[in-house]
Amino acid sequence: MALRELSSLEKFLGIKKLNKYSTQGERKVPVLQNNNAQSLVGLATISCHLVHEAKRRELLGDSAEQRAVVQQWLEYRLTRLDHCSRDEINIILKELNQYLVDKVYLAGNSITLADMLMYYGIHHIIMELAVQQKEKYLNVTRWFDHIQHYPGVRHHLPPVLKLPFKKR
Amino acid sequence: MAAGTLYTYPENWRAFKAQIAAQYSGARLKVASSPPAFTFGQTNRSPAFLSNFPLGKVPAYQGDDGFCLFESNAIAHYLSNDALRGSTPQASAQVLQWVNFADSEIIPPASAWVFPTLGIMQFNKQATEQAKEEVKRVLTVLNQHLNTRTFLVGERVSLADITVVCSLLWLYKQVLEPAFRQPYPNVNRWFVTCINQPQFKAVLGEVKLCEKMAQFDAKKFAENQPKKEAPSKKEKAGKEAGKQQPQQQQEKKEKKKEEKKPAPPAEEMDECEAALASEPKTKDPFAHLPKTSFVLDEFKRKYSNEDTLTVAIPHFWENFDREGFSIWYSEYRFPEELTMTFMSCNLITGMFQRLDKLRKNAFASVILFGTNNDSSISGIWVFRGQDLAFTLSDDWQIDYESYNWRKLDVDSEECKTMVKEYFAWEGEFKHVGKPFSQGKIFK
Amino acid sequence: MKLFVSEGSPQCVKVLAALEHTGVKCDVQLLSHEESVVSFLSRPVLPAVLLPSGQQLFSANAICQYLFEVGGKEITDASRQLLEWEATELQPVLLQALHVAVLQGKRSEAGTLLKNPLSWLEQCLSGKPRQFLTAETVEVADIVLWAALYPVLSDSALEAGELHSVRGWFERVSQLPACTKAVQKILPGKELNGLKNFLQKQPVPHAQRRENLPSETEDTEHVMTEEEIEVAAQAWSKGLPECDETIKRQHPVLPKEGKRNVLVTSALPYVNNVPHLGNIIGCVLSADVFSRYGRLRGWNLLYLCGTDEYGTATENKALEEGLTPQQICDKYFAVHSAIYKWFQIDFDYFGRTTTQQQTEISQNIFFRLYERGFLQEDIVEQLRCENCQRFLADRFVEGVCPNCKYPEARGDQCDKCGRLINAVELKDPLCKVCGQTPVIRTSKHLFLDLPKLEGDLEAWLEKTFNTGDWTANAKQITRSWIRDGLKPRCITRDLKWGTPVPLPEYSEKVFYVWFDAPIGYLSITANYTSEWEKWWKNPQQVELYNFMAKDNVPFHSVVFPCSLLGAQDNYTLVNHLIATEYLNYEDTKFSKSRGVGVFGDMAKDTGIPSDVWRFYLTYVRPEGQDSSFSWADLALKNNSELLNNLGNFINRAGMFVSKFFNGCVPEIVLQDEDKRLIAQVSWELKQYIQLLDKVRIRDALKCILNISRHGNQYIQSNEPWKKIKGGEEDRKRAGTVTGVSVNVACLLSAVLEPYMPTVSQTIRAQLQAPDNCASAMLGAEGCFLRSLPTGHQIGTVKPLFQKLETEQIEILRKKFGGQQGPSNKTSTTGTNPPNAAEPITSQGKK
Repeated sequence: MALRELSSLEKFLGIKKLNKYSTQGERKVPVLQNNNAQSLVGLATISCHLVHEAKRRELLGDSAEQRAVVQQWLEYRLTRLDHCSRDEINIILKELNQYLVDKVYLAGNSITLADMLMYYGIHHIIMELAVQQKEKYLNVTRWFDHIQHYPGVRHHLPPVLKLPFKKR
Repeated sequence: MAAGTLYTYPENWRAFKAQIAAQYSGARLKVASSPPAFTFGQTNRSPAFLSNFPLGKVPAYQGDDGFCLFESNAIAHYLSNDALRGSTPQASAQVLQWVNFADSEIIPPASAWVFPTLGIMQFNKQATEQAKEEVKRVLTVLNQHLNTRTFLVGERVSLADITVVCSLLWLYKQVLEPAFRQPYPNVNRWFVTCINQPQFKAVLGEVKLCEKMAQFDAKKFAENQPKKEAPSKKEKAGKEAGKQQPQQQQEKKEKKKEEKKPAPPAEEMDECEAALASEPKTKDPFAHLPKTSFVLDEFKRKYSNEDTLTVAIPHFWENFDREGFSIWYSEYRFPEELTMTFMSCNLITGMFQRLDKLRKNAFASVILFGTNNDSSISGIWVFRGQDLAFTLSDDWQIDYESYNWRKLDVDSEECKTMVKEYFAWEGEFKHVGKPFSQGKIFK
Repeated sequence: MKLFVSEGSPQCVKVLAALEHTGVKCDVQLLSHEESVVSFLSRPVLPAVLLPSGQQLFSANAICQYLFEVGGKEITDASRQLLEWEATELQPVLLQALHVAVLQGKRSEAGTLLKNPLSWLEQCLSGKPRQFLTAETVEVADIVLWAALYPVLSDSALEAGELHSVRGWFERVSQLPACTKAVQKILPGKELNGLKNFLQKQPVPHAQRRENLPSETEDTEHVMTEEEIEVAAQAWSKGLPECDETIKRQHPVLPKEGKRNVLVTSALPYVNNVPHLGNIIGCVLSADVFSRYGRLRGWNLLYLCGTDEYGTATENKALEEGLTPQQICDKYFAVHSAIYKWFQIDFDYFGRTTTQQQTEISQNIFFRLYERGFLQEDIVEQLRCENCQRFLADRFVEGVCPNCKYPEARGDQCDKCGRLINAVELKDPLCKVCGQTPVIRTSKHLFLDLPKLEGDLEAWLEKTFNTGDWTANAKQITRSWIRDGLKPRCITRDLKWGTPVPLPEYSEKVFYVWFDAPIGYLSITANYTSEWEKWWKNPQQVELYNFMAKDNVPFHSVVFPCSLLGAQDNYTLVNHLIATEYLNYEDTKFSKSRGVGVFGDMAKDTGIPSDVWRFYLTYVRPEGQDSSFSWADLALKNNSELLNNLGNFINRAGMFVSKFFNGCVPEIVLQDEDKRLIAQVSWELKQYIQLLDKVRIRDALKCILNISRHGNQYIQSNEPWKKIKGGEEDRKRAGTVTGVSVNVACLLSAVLEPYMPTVSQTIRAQLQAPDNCASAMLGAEGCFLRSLPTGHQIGTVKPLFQKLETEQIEILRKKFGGQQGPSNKTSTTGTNPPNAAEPITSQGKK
């Protein structure tokens, strides 16, 4: 999965250069091969590196505060969301839903890498949500829908329908 | 792209709409708001100005090409791009809906409540209380609408957001103190997000949300009053120019008192939702291609019902139309991520499902080679047309980027061999180097 | 800016050290672990920072990074990579190691756990001339990793191998004034024990990383309190109650006062379809597992099923085979009975619908509906074949599709364009039996007035949804029917093979199968006992469970309840409706006509035991979502779960008793570790009961496998085969471990009973376990008891399972048509050709 995410991210960033990737370990952690220097390991690390390379630093947050918030959600994605158990899923959805009550994006007022990687990571969960759950986690649903419609983000993932319109 | 000048007095929220729209569209807009380019009350009373803009009101727009417009909504519309105006008939109608909503539902109560606090209108307790109630009603409507949405129309900022944000601007700055706005979290989220977009910020600067509800500013009002009695030079000029327009005086910063329209019945909301729900009709993405002699369905029938090697493949080559169709070799780009074979198969069948609408115009045999944790996926695709079909529809773009695509030379030996091997699920598969595991047919 | 920290947390050491080191100005407030600062997180997390903007940070690493950036040091790729490694790789292991070391007192184990990450770090550092991790100066990664590792590296008792470079770096960072200060504040001189409070509040670390399969997420390991462990061990030591005779089933089973009276039905299979694996798991097997479980729990339970025999399809089949419909029914009834017998479906009674009782009860309900005005007449246009003298059911007509002109459209749907067709709209219709052109005739029919009954139905549904266990799909399907509004539903058909409609002007007609098929539940009961009304007109005492595949839901939740409600005769209505999703066959559908899939009558020819089939089908039971039968997976689960996990454990436990102790259960002196196992097993048992009470059959099976997994780990870490050769103490220890293990094996035989009855019996026979052990342990909330006391003599222990070899499975897969062999694609084929018009076998019944 991680390599497909990175490929989509490259497309979003418009990176033309051909990067070589592999994976390592049981969890298939992505590795970016680098001819000149040491290779980079880890989804968040590589993603941040790509964003720098593409000179799109605003995607890491536009202030020190926002940069910290972005890093925090990247970590959340990797440590909480990935490989989480079924019970955990509901806790995560609850937390995100609460967090997103007054926010359109995870960090600041524009899309960041945190939104993108969270979107990629949570996609399979949202796909399987029943309508009632989508209603329950309304803020997550809204955020998800917004991110999946953000030009250039979706790439390798199928779109997920938002809530159906209510019949009277 | 439009280029021109916008005449206005400084800090005019009506002009902001046009300015922000221009920020988004890239229209080159000069703003004339201060002397010598524009002196409010003078420039707009000059015969030259009035000949272009008979009302003498601002904002007013004059293009470099001489094109003139008054009415802020029209100017903002003109300075927008398609994305802001709404790119489908439904979306553009919704944009218009919110623009009208702002004028008829927000502005009257907002003016009645805010202007006394700015000292430009006499305070009337009953009117203010009534205005508060109406603002609450408007915010409730917006809050409900934004419950499931990020922006008012579609998933991007549109003229609807620009207009409604500008119309709420004074409310949020002057009177919507935290306790008052707290019941409308969706509106707050949306408003804060909008005003923090770079395009809004460039025009509005840093907007400070109200901490404590402003009250009637009697002192300021009093200061303003005598000026009205003994008009300053500015005002006098205004008065003179206003002869043709007897109501001009009050116009200065204030919204003209439109007749308040009756509140729209609740049913209207449902019509709006129905419009949203009905998606635009899909077109046939292959409509532009010339007719072909190769009947794909015929081949599929042969393939399904008769022997592949002795009937189906010969039929294929006899009838194949190289002008109307092309043959492609695809290879999954991330074989190292493939684990269990049944999951890999789901990857293939999932792709097929998502490409459902392509079935009429394509045929493919995609094969999983190898075993658990050591596998690869490749396939042969036959499409209508000479290009990869996937870009023709948004629905088809999910999976194909995970594959490498190579168009095969129809006459080449390689192509013949691959078609044979992949269609029959038999053969050496020399280029693969892993044993055949499972095949899937897209038809 | 405000920083909140708590004592004893290495995460807080990180941020305090970073704060001191960077010199950023900030209020620091010391809180207790329980205090919640970050509003949106569901459990308290510290450290946390309140930023000037009002935003909150809850990740220590992000806070450190922020402090460094404010202090003028932007993060580099190398540092970022170490932070990511720390959060994703090191922390899970570290938490687990600290957990083991501090809460369980096993320092050596903690050292082993940490070996990998520490030696990786050692490699990173060794041979590099740098003073610190990424540079010559202290970077954020140094602070973060140092603080994370502080508890383990500062504890000299924790052995983690030669770590020359790591130690050197650690000392250098430790000597920074910022770091000493942070340690003093957060971990003041209490060493590892200072972490105790903090660790107890952390979520339980997972033993190992789970596979990234959303459908196979397993529950987290349960961590027990000391008290819980003690309670479980004491309960266990009490052993089995003296007498608690197993109650023998006596037919007829009738509701009893003061008992939980449970009536279980599984959807009646249609007689002329040989059931495939999907049918079996969807209906009869699920209901059987639940019924067996219920009987073990001591419920007064009756499980009924039977074949549904009336209808067009039977008539058709009879024509095809040149038999009478009754002969067809007799023939296939025997086929069904034999299949279910082989699958060990323990019905109390397996009946059929072509009985006198069926006619009586259906007609009685019909008359009651008729008298109460719930039936209405209407005229329907239908195709009739004058040649065959009958009205043609949809599937007996073929013609030209009115939409796409496809010449072989069926009476209900066109296979080419897929549109639904009303049979009378077909151009040039032909009777499929004789090839003659049918004519359009009108025919009078009776309709059940569902709209009139809607109010009663909704009131009942609301109540039963709230009190019963309905699967989510059952509720959802029912709700969507109600939401779309109910329409009158035709209950009569122009057929011969059916229950006759008892009105003179309807003498040529019979009841439409969906009106009378569910009445089959009642008539089958009536065939079982003349006192059937004690079950079916007794909603006060009886709880009714219906098992089915989801395509049957509306008939059980809407149509049939409406018939019963309208009859106004105090009928027992369904309380719990358990519907499965679909089971696919190797990613395609089961299809008899295409020869794809395993059908009930073939399962025994595979040579795979009935119990293994039962195990695998329940293991992949489409509970909550569709699932797939796969040969490879069947072999894998057999070999990994049954053979290596479950079978291996039970066999080892028994073999130790036979070999080391002459078949006599040895003396047991419980130590902490044994108690811990007992508590773990008890917890899994409670889970098992909670899940099966809610009919979560697949999930409960995982609990069984968890029990034997715990058992295997327990044996592995105690190595009784080594200890038995040691001194007196060691031999005693081997005895205890063996005695506890064999008792776990005995519990396994009990919990396996619903799933694998033969295996369960075999284990019990091998262990000579007392008859009442299963019901004693599965009563009430469930309690793990010592059923095999010291001195108990066991029988001969033999392996329970056999390995399934790849070649064997390959042969089976070829035989039953999967998608494998390329050669058979066009003949028996897996990828269905678009023009093949065979109806796809339904998973319930049509």
